[in-house]
Amino acid sequence: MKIEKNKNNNVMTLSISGRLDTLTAPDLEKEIEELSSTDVTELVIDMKELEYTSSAGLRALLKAQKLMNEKGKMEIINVNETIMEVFEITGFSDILSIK
Amino acid sequence: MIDELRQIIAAMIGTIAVINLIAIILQGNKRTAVDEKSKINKIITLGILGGLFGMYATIDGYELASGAIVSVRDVGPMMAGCLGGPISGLIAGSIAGIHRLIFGRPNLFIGTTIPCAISTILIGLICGLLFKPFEKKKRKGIFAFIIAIFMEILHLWLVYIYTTIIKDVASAWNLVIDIAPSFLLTNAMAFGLMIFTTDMIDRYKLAEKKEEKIENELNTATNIQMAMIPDEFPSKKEFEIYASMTPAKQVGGDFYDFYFIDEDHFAFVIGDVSGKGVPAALFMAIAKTVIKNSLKLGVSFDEAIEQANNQLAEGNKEEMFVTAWIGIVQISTGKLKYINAGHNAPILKKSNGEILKLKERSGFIIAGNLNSKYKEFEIQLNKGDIVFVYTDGVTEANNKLNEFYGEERLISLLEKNESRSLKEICNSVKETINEFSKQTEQFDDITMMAFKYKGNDEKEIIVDSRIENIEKVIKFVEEKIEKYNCSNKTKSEINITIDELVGNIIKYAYNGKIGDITIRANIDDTKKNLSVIFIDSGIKYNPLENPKPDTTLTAEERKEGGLGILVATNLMDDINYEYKDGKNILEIIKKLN
Repeated sequence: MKIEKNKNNNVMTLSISGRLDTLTAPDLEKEIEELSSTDVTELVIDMKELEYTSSAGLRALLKAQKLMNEKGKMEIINVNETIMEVFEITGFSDILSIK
Repeated sequence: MIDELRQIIAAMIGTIAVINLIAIILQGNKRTAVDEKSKINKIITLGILGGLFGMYATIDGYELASGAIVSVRDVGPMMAGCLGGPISGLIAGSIAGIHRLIFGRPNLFIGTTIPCAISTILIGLICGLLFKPFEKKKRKGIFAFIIAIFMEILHLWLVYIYTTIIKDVASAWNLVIDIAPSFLLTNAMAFGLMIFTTDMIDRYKLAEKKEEKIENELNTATNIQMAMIPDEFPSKKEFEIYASMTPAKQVGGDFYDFYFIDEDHFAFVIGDVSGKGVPAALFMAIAKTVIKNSLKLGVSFDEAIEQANNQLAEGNKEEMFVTAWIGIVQISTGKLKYINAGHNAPILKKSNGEILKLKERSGFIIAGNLNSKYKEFEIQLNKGDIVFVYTDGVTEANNKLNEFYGEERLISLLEKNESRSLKEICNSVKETINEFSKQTEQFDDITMMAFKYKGNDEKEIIVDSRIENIEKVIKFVEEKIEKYNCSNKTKSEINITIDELVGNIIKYAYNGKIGDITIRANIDDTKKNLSVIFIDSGIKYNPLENPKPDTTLTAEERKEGGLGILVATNLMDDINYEYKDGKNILEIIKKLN
């Protein structure tokens, strides 16, 4: 899994490609942790190149959502059918702001 | 007098030539050569031979105007003595001397018979005493010439004394003056020439022996080198491999090698050392070993090759280098990682017949520079794919018109080849190269290796409970369902489920320790149902009993956990669990849409 970072003023865009699963989720969690000490107030997660996510990925996204709820806002964009399915099964579709 | 000398020499040349010729022929033939015989044999043979030469010379003597006879009889005992020692000399001198005494012209007590006979015997003895210093001399021909002069001076002196006794000083002096020039010249020439030519023959024989010795050592080296290159090809369900190496000279700089790095990883290597012959062969032996040891160290692939490179580059005063292509295939999945260090691009013939070149270059030739960096590349092999690696001896084989065999010919041959056997494929390449370069000497070592991935037919794999192995399980199941052409959605759902379930086992089943997880995959062809069973012998635990997480809570209220089984249950068509014989057995069923 690769994470491409793009910062524009206070808006951070993370473009994730590959698969978000047990093996790769910790990388995302690390990125989220680093965000907490920055001045980022808006986080955009672009899942255009992401094949799928397992529940391990959800934990990282949950952390991100909780963090950004305090600092500003978070948005997830370009979610494919399978990812959406997982969000819905787990109820994360209600917690995460998905475009 | 010069005139007469000329005539004498002209007459004696025949005798000298015959004796020399016989000596050369005898010495040139292994069976008759004197130095090949035992010591006693040598002494006796030389003695008799010298005696015979002496007898022949006596018979062929030349009569001077004054009536005296000039001959090169003394050459016989000279030869025997100088080459065989005092006993040889004595034998030769005695044979020739007694023959002169009885059968010479004149004979017995007439003329100079007695001093001639005596001097012949003496000369044999004296030369025999010179045997050891003679052996050591480098320029034997000149030494022989000088010895002959001195021996004839002795001979003349004995004649002088004898004639003085039976006649008078004046007659003696006249006689000696008359015969001295011709005796000295002809004997010196005869002996000098004989030794010069036989010495030359001995030198040639020595050189030939040296060459033979080197040839033998090279043959041994060839055997050693061929023993180093594996010629037994492992036969496995999951893959097939075959290779061949044909050196241009007796030993070569090309090599191929293959071995298991661990249970699930198989490495195959091909290399080409700069140059040919013994120097390349020596470096080849080192390079092959260093590469193998580095790969078995347990460090990452690129690091291993970087280490191998540094080891080989250090102290590389002769500036040798090796191009190499190293491939490591993960047997359970067919994933091939490779590093190309300046070597020709391998050809991949896919199971559908498509031909690709693995063009990526990972880094510089090995041992070229210290601290070269190498990058690994990866490709997924499918069942039936063949990787063909080779050295430039294949593509650069040339024909009479100095054209190269070339990559196009090779690719075209591999494309057309319908053979399933790797051995047949390699043999057909070799045959076409031979056809192409008929009558041209093989310029470079020709080496090739073919690897075919046959896929993992196992219905079951066992992995350690490590996070890295989730990938293995996913690949294993992916391979099994490949031919059913499911949608990406179905494939993803299966992969997510595997991640969830195996992830849970890894995290919780063995309580921090590492244990086995067995995965079985089965497909019901009629209903197109995939069944995957996960078995572990860890803590007894039924994940389906877990209270379902409340998916209506907000982000802040949510606890982390419990989602995995929820996702798996919803993505799969069916999921069931049983505990049996101390094992947790969890099965998922999914229709392959």
